Amino acid sequence: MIKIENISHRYADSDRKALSGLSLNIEKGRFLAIIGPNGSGKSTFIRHLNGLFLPNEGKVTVDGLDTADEKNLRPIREKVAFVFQNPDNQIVASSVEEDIAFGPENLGLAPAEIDRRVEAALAACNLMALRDKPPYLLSGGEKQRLAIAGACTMDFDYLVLDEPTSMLDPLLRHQVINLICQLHETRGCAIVFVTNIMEEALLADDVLILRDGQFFAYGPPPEVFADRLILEEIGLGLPEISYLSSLLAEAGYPSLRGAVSVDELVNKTMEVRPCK
Amino acid sequence: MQIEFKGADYTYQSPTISSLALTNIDFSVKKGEFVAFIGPSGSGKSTLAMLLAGLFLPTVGEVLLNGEKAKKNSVFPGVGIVFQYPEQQLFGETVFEEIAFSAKNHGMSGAELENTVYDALRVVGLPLDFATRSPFGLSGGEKRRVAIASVLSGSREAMIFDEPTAGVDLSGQRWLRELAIRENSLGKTIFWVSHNMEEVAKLASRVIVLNDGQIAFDGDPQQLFSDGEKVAACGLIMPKGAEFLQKIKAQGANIAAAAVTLEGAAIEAAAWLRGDDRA
Repeated sequence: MIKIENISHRYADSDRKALSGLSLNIEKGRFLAIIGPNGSGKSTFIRHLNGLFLPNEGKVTVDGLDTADEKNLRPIREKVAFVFQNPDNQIVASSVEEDIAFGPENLGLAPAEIDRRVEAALAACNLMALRDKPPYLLSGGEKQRLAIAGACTMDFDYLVLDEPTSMLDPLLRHQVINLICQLHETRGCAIVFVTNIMEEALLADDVLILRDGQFFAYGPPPEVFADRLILEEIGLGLPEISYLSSLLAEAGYPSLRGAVSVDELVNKTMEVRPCK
Repeated sequence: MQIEFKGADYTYQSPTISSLALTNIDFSVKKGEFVAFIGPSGSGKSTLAMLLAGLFLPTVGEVLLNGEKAKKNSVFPGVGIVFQYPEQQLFGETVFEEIAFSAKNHGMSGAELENTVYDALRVVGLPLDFATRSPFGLSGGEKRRVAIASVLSGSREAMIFDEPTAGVDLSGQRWLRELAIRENSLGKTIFWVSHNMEEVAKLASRVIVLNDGQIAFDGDPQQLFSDGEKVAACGLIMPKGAEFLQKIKAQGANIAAAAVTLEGAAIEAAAWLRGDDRA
């Protein structure tokens, strides 16, 4: 479990707190989406999960290991993999395969074990056909899958992704989201991902909304997305189906509130006025 | 202003490959229309936007503005294009120069030029004292506004927006849509390239669907989006509101299922729930 205890963070060049007084437990196997307006602290927050940032106040522990203790950083980073927003920032080698091998090579693993992990990551991220390609020739979606494949060579229990789809078009976005869901299912790892696309947040077990460095809402999607007026006030939209569901609730049908799929909303509607 | 495509093809040429992006494109757009272009990834939307601006010339056929062909290495006069990441099109030393650039290219100078620049700043909601600042020291959102102001100042006839709301937050999306609606109401023709069906259903009076480089549909958005089979044949997905109405209709609800936006669907479904039947 990643345990976040009452943390605050202030950047050296600012007198405003980027995060203030946040506490949360992230259990293994959870699927958590983080959303929030620009500047709400999303990226700052997730950088605390593997010790990239340390809190000015409070404490973060990963399976009991305190991120503030330097000797814990290596085991923490093996447990918590991190994928940055722009894949170009973490691609280092001159071919897809070498780039994926970079992590396990740095761990000093035996060559046979490195090969095994690289093959598995290539297969999981659907990159077999591209293994010899130089990364600069990849499309945006392929690069993002490569960045995730690099992380996949680690035996992580938690995968943290910072807006993994923000630079992609809808088709490529879909590929990357599918990959993340698949990793969650097959590895049973926790997923923590930041997104600005509300439809993606519907896939998560829980949605966390940050605003001005504080938690604005936290809960399963049907709860968090139940009322469009609350979210519009902080400049966020709802997923389309939640928005329609919220409009129908406002029109006098409260039982229609909180639907997260078209079929669910259809069923709820037919319960209000059944047809033969 | 009239833009006309007559049997236009566009092929990307490089020493090693040539790839046909658009095939036999035929349509014409009159002054003041609000036309959306939609289609799956790779269907040719952005290429079409480049042809509309006059930045690309068709490899076969013709693209005409008021009966005239585009000249090589120039844009159609009076037509402005806002790229997907407009902040990447900035280059001026000051915001004033940035915004004045295209207006100057169209022959403006002196007091007229100044008025145009300050008007554009006002339209995009930036303080007038930004004129002397460097565009590169601004925030991402401000840069985007400067880039759009720069396109505004040089586009008296038409504006092309290539997926303008991708990666923009809710209030930014609203602002962009309202800007396009306002410019359209002042008589400008608007071309709006989008992936977002809901947005297209709300904004456009005409939709042109591209699929695999060809026009798969050209007409009224409502007519397209209320017809599930047509939408699927175009390689698109239904807007959520239309999908919802079609599904309750399929369950036996006596409903017209005519609305295509989320708001329209809510009104239509609420009326039916109150007992208002219509075939």
